[in-house]
Amino acid sequence: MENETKLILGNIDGGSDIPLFVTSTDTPEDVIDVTLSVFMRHERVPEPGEVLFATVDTTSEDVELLLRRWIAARTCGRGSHIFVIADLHMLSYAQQCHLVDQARSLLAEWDASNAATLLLVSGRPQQVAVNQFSQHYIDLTSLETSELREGLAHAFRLHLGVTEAVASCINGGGKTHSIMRRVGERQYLGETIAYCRVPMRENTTPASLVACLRDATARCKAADASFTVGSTTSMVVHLDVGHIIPASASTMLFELLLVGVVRDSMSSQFYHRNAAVEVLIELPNSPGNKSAEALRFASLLPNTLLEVSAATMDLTYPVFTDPFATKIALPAYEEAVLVAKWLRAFKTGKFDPRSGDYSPGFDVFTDAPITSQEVFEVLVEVCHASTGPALQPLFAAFRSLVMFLNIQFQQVCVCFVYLLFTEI
Amino acid sequence: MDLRSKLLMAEVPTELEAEFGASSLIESFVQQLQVMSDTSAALQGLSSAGHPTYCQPTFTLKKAIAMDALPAMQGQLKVLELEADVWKKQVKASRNQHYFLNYFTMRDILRIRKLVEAPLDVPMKIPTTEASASSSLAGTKDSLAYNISVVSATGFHEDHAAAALRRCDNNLEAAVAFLFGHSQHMDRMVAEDAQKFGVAGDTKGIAQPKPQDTTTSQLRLSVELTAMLYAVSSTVNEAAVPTLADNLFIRLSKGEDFLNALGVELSLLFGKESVVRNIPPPGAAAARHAGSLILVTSFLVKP
Repeated sequence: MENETKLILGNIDGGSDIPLFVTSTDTPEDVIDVTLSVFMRHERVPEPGEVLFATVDTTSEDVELLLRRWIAARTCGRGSHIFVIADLHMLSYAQQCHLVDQARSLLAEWDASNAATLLLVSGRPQQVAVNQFSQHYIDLTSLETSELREGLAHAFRLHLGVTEAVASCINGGGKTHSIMRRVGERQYLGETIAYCRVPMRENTTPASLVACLRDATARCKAADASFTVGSTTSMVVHLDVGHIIPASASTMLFELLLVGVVRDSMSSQFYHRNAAVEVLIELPNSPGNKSAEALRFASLLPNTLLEVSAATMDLTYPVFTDPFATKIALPAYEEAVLVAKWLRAFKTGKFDPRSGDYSPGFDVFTDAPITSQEVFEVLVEVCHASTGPALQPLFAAFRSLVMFLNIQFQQVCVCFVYLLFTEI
Repeated sequence: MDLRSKLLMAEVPTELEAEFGASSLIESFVQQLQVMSDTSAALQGLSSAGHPTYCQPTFTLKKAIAMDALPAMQGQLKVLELEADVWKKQVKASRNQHYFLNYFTMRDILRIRKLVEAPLDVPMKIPTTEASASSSLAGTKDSLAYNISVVSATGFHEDHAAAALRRCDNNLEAAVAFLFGHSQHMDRMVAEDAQKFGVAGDTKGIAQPKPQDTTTSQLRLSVELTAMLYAVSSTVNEAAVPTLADNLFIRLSKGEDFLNALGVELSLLFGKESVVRNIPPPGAAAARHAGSLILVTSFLVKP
């Protein structure tokens, strides 16, 4: 690995007359790893404008501008930059030809004396640009996943702000609840943070992501009456990733989380993530874990894996306390407690005249307190069967059952009160 | 195009040919259609290349088809093509001269121009650097003008913000909630206020534009411009952004070329120093771990 690093650093730091390199990866999914590895080996985070992830929306102008930034980089102190066109295979044949022509034309016009390093990374073999620059081909391998994770953790800690992926072992495992609870607890302790949820779905594009983030920022600022421009009130973005995600989701996350800038090229609107903005990404559970695997970049982030167990059973429930949905309170989850008490009473035979614990005057409100362990166990007993479709119990199933049974038990209470008064 | 194809395929009856010279009429018409099509393409090219004249949403070019209109149309097309060439060369020269322009597409640059020009919509004096520095602080806290600026900085239109604040006793939180709840009726309320208080957007009792009126635009401009400038570097001196905007505004007012003006201002803002966000090398934790092991081992074996 060390030799490989030296080789790559040696090449990139000026081993060639023209600092232009092309490489291709085995699969398109590896492009992010290779791109990240290059910057990790250079011990730095990519700067805005340094990496262009090609998409179907990438224009020749975008490519030309990156080439211009590359060819004259040393004139403005950017000689150490590595300008990368990643996902080269996403460019059309005509665009790749244009890229080659542009690069050659700029080299002829400027020569390479003021150029930084240009790296073209294709996710597929036999691309025009790769073939045209085959004499500049280098075989780049990515770092180990653990090394990439470590590098990203450093990047977030030192420069970009708190960034974390929250996953659970099963769908309905309490990811949303966990994120909201974390924010609610910090708000309760007096931290000036505002929560905002930003969805990422199949139809999410850089444009809609920018719009959502800008809207979320506006809501957070509007929610804080004491807001003044330039204040350091931080924002926690709950990035809720759906089961079906766009093909460019991983690169959008790369740009938002690591580079720090997302651009809507159509409206020229930008979103800049400063270090005060924390991002918690809710990763979806999908069959075969396909969504999480498609989000390669997210899988490299510092992460928390939630489990459904008695230890993680929470007897509070996050609710919004302002119209902007930025402030969260954590009142007691009374419904779950009451339902669990009812179920416990059934289980212990309080309504069975043949039982020794028969208690016709049972009052759920004065019944003995119940622990979260007991609540979990009693709910698992009625919600989950080892022979059922779900391999593990789900908090989401608990929630549904509690909502349903709570209404039924309330009717029982009303009936008791009615009987009580009619007997009197 | 369909019409042109059909015309070319049409068989002209001999009596029409004899009476009107229909063939020559059709030929002239088709030629003019071709030139108009080329003109349209040239105009679109100029617009997408960011030529300020042809990017205006109000720009229109009307031409009537007439028997003798072809030479004039062809002449105009040549002028447009020439203009496109000149513009492309001008843009290329500016991009060559000013490195930081290459971080923005022409669409981005036009948006920056639009943002900078926005204060022109508000009647105001051309700001000097000193005046603009003080004007950004104008408006005392809790005044209506100040609160309008705060609310509109969150993304609401300033007229809407003013109307909402008037209806909420100048209470910020209530006004924002009001805006969310009455978004469909805000235009009507602005119109009502315009009738009641005079010009829409004026604060109550303030008939003439004052420095406070420009605060909103400047705040919005700063926020938008700052976000755009982060596309150049991870480090932006945010305090210098209003000055950059003011300088661009002054240069525009003096009739300077916007591309060059922006290039100069960006160079001043970003300088020539490299900005790098360093992180430890890969495997540093493992190396540290190995180092501490060696240290512990050496300590242990030390007599």
